[in-house]
Amino acid sequence: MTDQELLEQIQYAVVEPPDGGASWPSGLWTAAEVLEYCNQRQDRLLKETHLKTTVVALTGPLAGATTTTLPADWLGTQEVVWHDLADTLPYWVLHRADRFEIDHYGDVWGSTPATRPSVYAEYDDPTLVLRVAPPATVDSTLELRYVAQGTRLTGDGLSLTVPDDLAPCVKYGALAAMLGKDGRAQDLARAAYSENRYQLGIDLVRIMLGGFGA
Amino acid sequence: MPYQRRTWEDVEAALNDRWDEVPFWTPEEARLAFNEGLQTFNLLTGRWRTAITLVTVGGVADYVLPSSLLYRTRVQVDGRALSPASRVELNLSRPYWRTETTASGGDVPTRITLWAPIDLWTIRLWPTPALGGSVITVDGVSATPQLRYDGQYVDLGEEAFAALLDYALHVCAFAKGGPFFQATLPHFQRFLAYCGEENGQILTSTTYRRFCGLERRDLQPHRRQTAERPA
Repeated sequence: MTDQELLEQIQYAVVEPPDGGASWPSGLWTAAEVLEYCNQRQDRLLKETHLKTTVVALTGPLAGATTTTLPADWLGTQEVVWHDLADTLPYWVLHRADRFEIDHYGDVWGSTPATRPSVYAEYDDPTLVLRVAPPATVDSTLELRYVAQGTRLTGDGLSLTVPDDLAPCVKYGALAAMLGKDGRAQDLARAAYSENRYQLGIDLVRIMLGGFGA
Repeated sequence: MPYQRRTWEDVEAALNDRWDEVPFWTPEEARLAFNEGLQTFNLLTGRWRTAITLVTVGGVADYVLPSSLLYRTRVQVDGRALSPASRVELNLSRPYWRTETTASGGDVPTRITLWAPIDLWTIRLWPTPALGGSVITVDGVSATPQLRYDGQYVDLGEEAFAALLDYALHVCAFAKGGPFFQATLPHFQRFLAYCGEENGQILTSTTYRRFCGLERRDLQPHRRQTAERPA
């Protein structure tokens, strides 16, 4: 499904003349605003369900270093696998942790070099920085499987990143934001209904994936 | 109920039969609402099934599925069904799975035995095939058929068709809002109840139960009151 088809369905739902989302004559919403709602909901759907993932090899961290940079389109991590550049040690899956665990596992555990790291943390450092602990004694690479940002919908006929069958989920997510905002168009009953429809879509994807990614 | 071919003309006539005034919606809105109903129905029940085939490549563990498959339910390699596992199970039980192939020997099987979903479009096989050429058959739910043009049809039984008409009327009423829309919620609940009969797994969703009116605490029996009440 294209973004124009999605926007047209939203226009029908809020009694705006259907034109692929180009104009919103009621003045209650702007085209850019609705597009942003669609983009936000698509990204939220991707992040909350892990329905589509991307693999990338991150260079580093180098020997003794504890951080490396995440891709710019990163939304969430599914799996981090460590591997030494010299290819002498087996691949090693790192477990998710946080800075509190790293700091309190041992006084200097998080900063004392070891054969290979054991854990990674991604939310306690500056944005888009991945920390591993303890630091490895050798140069290494990280195989990162992550949820990437969806295609930025612009209203120019781009295809959604999520499957067509999940487009209604994005539609209701956008409607929840549109009808829930302060203003003349506020309709909290329909906003709540739409939010629940969006949530139902997430539940269904989780069932499809067998609980995985939840 | 027997399956019948339903074209857009059948759907439009049936919707008009359920409406005794000038409808609030246009035919195009109704068509979109019915198509949305088909998609939701397929998500809830996995009605439209299909199977696709791929060929293994030596040394490759992860396989990307075509987008014509909405989600996968079963995997076979050369006619042998594989056991489902998960990415986490593989990582924890076989931490060296990346280096294990069907030619590794030892406790590693000589044929592929497990598959694990990675995301909606990717599956992982274990052990990794050492040689290519084996046929992977993936059964699953196909992308939902849509009624876009005259002459297109979908196969639906009587009950499913009635449930989808309920759904379409409910979605068409969304634009009108207020009590008018509220009055069509039973349509949606009937649709969900029918889907729940076809796929009991969706009953695990709190949101589904809330929509069906099964999550109302005021209707739950209160343990203490029940105990105090004389038989």
